[in-house]
Amino acid sequence: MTGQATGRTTGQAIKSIVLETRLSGALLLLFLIILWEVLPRSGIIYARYFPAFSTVMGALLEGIRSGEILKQTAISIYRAFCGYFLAIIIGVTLGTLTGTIRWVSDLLDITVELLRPMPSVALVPIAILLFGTSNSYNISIITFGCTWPIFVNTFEGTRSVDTQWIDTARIYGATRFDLLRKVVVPAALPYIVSGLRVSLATSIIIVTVTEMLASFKGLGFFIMDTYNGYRIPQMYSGIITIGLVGYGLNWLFMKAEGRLMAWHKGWMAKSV
Amino acid sequence: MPGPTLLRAEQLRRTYIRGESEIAACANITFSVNKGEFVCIVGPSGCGKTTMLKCMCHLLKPTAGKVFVNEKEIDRPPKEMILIFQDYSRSLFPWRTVLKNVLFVLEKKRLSRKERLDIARSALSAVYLSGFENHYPWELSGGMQQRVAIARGIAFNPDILLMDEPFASVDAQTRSDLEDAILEIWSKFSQTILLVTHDIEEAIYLADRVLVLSGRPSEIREEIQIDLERPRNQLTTKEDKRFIEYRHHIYTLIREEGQKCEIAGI
Repeated sequence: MTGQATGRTTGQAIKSIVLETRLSGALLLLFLIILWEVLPRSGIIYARYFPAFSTVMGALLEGIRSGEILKQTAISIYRAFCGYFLAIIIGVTLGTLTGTIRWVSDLLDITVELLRPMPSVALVPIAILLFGTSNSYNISIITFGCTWPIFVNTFEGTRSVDTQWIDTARIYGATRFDLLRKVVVPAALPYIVSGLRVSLATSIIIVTVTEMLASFKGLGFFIMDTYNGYRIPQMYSGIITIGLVGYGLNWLFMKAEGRLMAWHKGWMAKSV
Repeated sequence: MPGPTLLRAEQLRRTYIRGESEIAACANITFSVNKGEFVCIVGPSGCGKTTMLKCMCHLLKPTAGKVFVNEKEIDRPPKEMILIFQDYSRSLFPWRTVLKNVLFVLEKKRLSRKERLDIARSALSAVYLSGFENHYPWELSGGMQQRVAIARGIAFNPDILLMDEPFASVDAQTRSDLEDAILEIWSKFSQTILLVTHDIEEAIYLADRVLVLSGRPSEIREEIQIDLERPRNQLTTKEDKRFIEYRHHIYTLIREEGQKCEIAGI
């Protein structure tokens, strides 16, 4: 009886602490927004370059109403996703091959180590020469940049699969392909997923930069275009939108990960 | 009454290279297991028991020697024989539920979905794990996890079950429970079992026949027929005069082998 009562009190205490931190987090955000509203209005900072929160929100709502922002967002997301998915296919395939076949990793090692540290945006001129300013230009660079985290994590994951899982599967008659599909890839999945998470953020960065540099569509283009046209509130609305897109995609990713990788969390908690 | 020979190892040898020298984990292992028999192999620790078992089912290629299952020489893991490992946590798949771990071994068989489910469920109920189908293995205790591994083995329906120190990672109470569970399965399914252990009492308690290994490089030092009534009982069997004599004899053998190893500096 006493134990139960104590348990409940602790539970409530924890709940209220969580609630309190959430609340103070929201309060901080509110405070920053108020600052953002007050400072430009009071003339403490230059309102033309740093328009007030309400002005930016006005521009954002106008952009949404006219469809302009939504159209540019859709284009950016489309490009980011295309590049991201190509990177998944290439990264997981190459990572699995190098992680499981010795001669492939010997063959690719030096080339990969030389290409991997290269900043993907350094390839912009090459991609423009190859693809002009078509979607393929953005997508190719996103693919390049997003492949590496996925590749490296898949490689590490597939290489560190416990040999006893492999032995177990072989005992029960698994073919090489079965081993890959039913043991190696699921066992490496926690690694692969963390590569996917890093690459998702990378894809948003690269799509923005490539669009800023050489595109006539997309949120990156929109930000630079409004900047050049001196439409400063619109520029801010573009920046906020890309931030929200990144936040939203990451949120979706975490939700999906929480559901699909529940076994891993529980297993890790047990085996530590 | 021994049935026909099911498993036969002939002059099995496995060596590995360390630096300049070639070290033999096991040398010249020859023995056979008959259909329906429960055979235990005991040996001093570190005498290459696991290596020997892995060679038996061709997870490792033997350096020399042959293994026959149903009088056919094997050159890959044979589907008539499976191996249950000591470390259940590294052989059960943590991303699959208990039921799906068992279903794993049925996925290569030509069976309908319903047949697979029926086999998996009855294998789990044979080890008293009905109701845990949808748990993940790591949610269960060590003893329960090893029973999942055993259920997976019997669901595959092999002719012979090899077990590598299957009860070495659980506490004493769970251990004797698991010993009785495996005896029950052995008689219920008319299985043939070859179990390797370092525990002398466990070997005598379970086996029809005990093979005593020498130290490294290991060979079969002696073969002892165990004449104790079945069903066996954790208390009365272990109090039997013959049980104590067997224990005395095997203990002496293994101690001699252990001392030889120490003198040789292995």
